[in-house]
Amino acid sequence: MAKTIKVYGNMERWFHSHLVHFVAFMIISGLPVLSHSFDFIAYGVGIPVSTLMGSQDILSAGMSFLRFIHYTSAFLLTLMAIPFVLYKLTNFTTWSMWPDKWGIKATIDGTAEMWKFYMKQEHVSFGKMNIGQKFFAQGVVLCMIVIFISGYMLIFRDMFSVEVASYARGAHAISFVLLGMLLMIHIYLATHPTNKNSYKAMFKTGEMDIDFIKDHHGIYYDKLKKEGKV
Amino acid sequence: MSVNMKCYDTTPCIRCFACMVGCSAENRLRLQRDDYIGVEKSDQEKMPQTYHLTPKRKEFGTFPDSRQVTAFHHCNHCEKAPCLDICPVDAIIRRPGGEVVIDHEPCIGCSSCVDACPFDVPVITDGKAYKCHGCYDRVENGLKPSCVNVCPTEAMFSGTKEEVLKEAYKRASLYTKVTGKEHIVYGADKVNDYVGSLLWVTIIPKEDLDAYQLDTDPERTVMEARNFAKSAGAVGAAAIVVGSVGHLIYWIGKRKEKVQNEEQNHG
Repeated sequence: MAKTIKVYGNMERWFHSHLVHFVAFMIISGLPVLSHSFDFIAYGVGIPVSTLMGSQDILSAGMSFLRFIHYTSAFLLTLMAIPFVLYKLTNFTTWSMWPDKWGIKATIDGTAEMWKFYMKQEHVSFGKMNIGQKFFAQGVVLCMIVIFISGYMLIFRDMFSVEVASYARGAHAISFVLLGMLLMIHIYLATHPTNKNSYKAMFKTGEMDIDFIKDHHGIYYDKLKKEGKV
Repeated sequence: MSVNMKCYDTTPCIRCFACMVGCSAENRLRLQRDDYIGVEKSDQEKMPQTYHLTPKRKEFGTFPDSRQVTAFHHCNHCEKAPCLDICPVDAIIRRPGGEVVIDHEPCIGCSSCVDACPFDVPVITDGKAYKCHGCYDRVENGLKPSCVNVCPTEAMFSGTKEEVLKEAYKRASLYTKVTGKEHIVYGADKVNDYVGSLLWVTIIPKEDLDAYQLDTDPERTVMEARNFAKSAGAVGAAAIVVGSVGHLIYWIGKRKEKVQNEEQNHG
């Protein structure tokens, strides 16, 4: 019997790795537009840019450069997302983010399981994703869709009325704030010591120990067993 | 320096549009002065960015009871100017006299001001935002704003806020008495929380607010939601950082306790 099994495909790992880079660029370049609290980013970029370009206003030079980075990252991310989305759409119904069980009771039970695992450190049996990961994934997909659509509407804003463009700007910012909070929780839990196997699988090998799966992801193990994969 | 105010009185206005012509001429001269455009080009091209005061004509009712109203569209120099708050490069500033002015040097044409303005005022042309600047430099040098200067009937008048409001309320009271229709000074009091009061007020019969397209609740709901999300996001992010650090400390302590217990049980 194999000691490990592939839990993240090459496409998923490739997309996730590069998504990290592009999202980081987009967050850094977008924050100064969202709030003056992040003007220091634009000033930091603006000092060398204004010196090189000979422009007078540091903040404007920085903001213009960051806007270029934001647009470029958005375009490259879109290019990168096309094969990934097409690949994922082929198995739409089997995505791990869909609930194993639906309903309020299942949600409460799933939350209680997470509480036991992260707070009481008790042994629990998850699917490939626990309920928190599923909600996170659904939230991220939703926010990304809104950000994507509203972002392109803002780039091509001349095609829309001022009011529609205004809605797009609001939606872009609100969904980014939500996404930002989700990402903070995601990064914390992904780098948490208890999740080192998942981290290693996503960023290094794509594979996870079967014993670990059996121990921590019992529902997923049973599913793999049923499919004859272990 | 005292705060300046402008007033448009709809009653003596004879619709000669001299104010609009004066505004455009003034702004063309400014662009020439600042080397943005040559004399010939500024005379030949339409240049919508130079019209900071524009007519908005609309017909109301059905024949024979219809009428045509030409409203004035312009920057109101809001007390709580949303364009000023949202500008990411601080290109929009408030002059000591209260005029909300776009500095075209740092403006990057991001359209944030366009999206935030509930009166649809700023326009983007050639990568820069344009709107009425209240002829702040004329006023700061003792002159009247261009539109006021050319008005032949004193339908446009300006001065300090106190002077203008005194005259505006005096006129509104007179018109109410003579016509029997209640006249108000739109913008003198707080219009709503989004814009506050205005530094460009209008004397108008109360029943004609809609006809003159003077919004009694100017807002961009989604921009208010955006501002709320920013505040909530800051609180949320802080809570997540505190929660994460707290959880990690708790988790490590609990883990140590668990390992110690297991060692004791096995030992």
